[in-house]
Amino acid sequence: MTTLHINGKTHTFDIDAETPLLWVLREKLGLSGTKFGCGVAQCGSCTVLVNGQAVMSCVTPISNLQNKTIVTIEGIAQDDQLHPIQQAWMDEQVPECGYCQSGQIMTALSLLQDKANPSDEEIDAAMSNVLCRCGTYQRIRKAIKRVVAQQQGDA
Amino acid sequence: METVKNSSRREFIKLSAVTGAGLVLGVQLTACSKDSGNQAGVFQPNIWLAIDKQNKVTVVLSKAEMGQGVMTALSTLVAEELDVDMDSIKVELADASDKYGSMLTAGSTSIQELWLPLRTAGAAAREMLIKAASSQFDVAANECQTKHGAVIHQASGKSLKYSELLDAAAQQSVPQEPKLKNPNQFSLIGKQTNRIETQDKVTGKAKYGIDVELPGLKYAAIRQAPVFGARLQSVNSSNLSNDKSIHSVVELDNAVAVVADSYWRAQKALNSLDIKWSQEASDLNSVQIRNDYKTLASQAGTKEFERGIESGASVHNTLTSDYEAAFQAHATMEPMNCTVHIHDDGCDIWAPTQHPQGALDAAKEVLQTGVRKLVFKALEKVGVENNIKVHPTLIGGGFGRRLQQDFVVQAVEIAVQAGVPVKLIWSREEDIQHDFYRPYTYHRLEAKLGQNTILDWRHRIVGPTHGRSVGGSTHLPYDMEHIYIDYHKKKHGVPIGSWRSIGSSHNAFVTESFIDEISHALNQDPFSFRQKLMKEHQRSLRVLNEAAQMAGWGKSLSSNQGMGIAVHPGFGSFIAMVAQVSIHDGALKVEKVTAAVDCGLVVNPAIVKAQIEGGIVFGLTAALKDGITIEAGKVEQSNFHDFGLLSYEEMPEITVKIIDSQEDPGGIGEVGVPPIAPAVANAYFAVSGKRLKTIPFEI
Repeated sequence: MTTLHINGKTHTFDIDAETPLLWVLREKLGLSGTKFGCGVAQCGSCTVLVNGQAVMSCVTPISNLQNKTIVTIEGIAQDDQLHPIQQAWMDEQVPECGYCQSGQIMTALSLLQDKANPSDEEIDAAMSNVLCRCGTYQRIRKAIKRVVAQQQGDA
Repeated sequence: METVKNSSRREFIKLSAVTGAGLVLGVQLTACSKDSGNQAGVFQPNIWLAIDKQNKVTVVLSKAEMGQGVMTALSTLVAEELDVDMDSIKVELADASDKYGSMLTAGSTSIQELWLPLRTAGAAAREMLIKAASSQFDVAANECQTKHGAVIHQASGKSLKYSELLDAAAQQSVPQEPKLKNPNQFSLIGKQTNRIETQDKVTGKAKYGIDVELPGLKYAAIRQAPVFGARLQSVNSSNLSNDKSIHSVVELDNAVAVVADSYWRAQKALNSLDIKWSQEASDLNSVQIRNDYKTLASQAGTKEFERGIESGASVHNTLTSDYEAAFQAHATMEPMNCTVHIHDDGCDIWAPTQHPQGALDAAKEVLQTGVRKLVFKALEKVGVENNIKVHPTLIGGGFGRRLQQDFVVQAVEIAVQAGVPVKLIWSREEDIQHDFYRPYTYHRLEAKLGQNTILDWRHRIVGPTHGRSVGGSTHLPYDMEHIYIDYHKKKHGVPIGSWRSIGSSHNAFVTESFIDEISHALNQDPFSFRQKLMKEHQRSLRVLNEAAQMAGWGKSLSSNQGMGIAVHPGFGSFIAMVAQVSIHDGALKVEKVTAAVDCGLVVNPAIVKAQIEGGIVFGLTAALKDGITIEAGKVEQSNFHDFGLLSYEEMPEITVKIIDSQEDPGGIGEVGVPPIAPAVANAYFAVSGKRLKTIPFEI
């Protein structure tokens, strides 16, 4: 039995504990916003937060996640209120095909939770973990800057 | 339900009104090729829109939304002529059917094909609503206006929402030639910037093919013969016989699939199998293909294109240069997948496909053979018609890959054999190693030059298929005395497909690099040399001038920086780019890209800019990252570690300017790809003096 805390709810699974979190989210919980892209932690489409850190769920067996706090793209909006990062993604109209964007947003969230005002180098380092074949990087950059500016304004 | 057909030769409008349910209006502009001349793409689709009691307008989307924005752009055409707000639009993805005309999403043609039919559909509905309202207001129709989904009679202050006119509008005769707006009346076209589906895409709610779920669904993983052309010989799956999570092992002609309770179990079990293929290696390799092509490049090929005649003016200089472009994979972020449910009433197929009708035909081919043919025929007999249905889904990147039906056929075959609903998902390794690749092509360019002119331009192309090799080579935006293009076709058994911008993806690199070579050979500035040759290519000239001006062409740069320019007409549009690069310790960095595009009338400027940015990234990836290479009959690359994509930190700063144009809309999805590789290569030459003659670049 493996117990996981996902988006504020507790789930218990009686399955092979080597199963990567990605497939539990998608197939057992219907949380299909987290995507399969490469299966080997190369593309970042499957990124979720584990205890606040960006983790690639395609290579993370659930055995490693007992009693840890997992947040997926479905868990960051408050009711109908988009998370500020999602709102910035809306404002900049970031997505094209959109397939990698859950991974992009969760990676940006992890970065901005760690650092309210990251340097360009820190943004580069974090965001280069998630590939986008449509080439939305310029709008991702603008969206992140927009969130940072808002956070600075609020501070 | 009533059907009204007018007897117009070229078009008929079918109206079906379901009492109380809404006004359903379909417009079919038939494509009688003998009536409409030899224009390409005249087979115009039938389009549906429906207005419901909540005053929402459902637009049926017959084209694939794969990131290029057609869901929004095509809906905007309907909303514009119908005078409804975008937030009252709902989009339904059309099931595969010939009633929509071509559902193929390819060649940047969606807006070009549907620009008039969809507007006509909206305008016809609007006129019927006006007639219905004016009769209730007891005023003349031409005294009424429409706005925000309502008909208004200003003088009397009366107004009725469309939703209050559904039945009455359905009674009106169908206008044969509804009046379309003039561009100066547009309130959405050219102004709309947000996309309909963005919120779903930032909240994880958007459902792609890979997200389809069904009761009792099983998951299939597949391994295809690594060597092109090899077949499955045998598979030993006895190690799985006691594994309850495994449903079945399915043997296909050239592949093995494992069907299991979860995709991960299926993939893990697949990895454990002992599989024998008819061939474990072959002689096919990239070096051999290159040598074959290089040899052919020295021999005259089949004439492809010729324009003009050589004047016999004295030749100032001659130039010869060879170029190569590697095989490229599409590497869509959403791997190939397809979900199939065969049931008592037929078969449902969910596929992220750019070619739903092709998927339907391919599925029929599998399902309507042998004993199954009887089953599906029997279903038709008892009244279950069209019992095979293809439901297109949102697509996580297409770029031409999903014009192919291989993954659909496999999923149907697996579902037939397994006897359960199945979702087939390819691993990334299968995706990279079993693509239909942008072809490897070899090019020989020869030019005879006058003092300031090109007297003779010769381009010989060697490749495995015709259009995908030569496309984009003939419409050079330059005045030249004589152009001659010939072609050798030689196949080696590598699967070939259409890859974003097709032939232009390599031919723009080749021709725009060679033009650059010529300008330097004549000691001319690459920008002003191009300018002088564009007297008969005014739209190309305009984007060229605009890009150069925006980029500050000619401004002083530091010694490790350089600028390069390139221009390419294609897909009904015109684009020019200036790339600014720098070299640090021998490594090339693309700092800035400035693009000017003339794609005629623009529906959604934000989508146009996004497509150009995306095209630049796509083209840069193919120029700066990896090609596909073949050794012993197999693709050598397998995942993103050896087939890399441009990453966030490598992204140049991109500025896109859209030229204000009243021309008919051109394409945009592929337009951004062709000029970026030559613009960067030309910039690299400017700073290093070294000419890059391959994509990916060899630096």
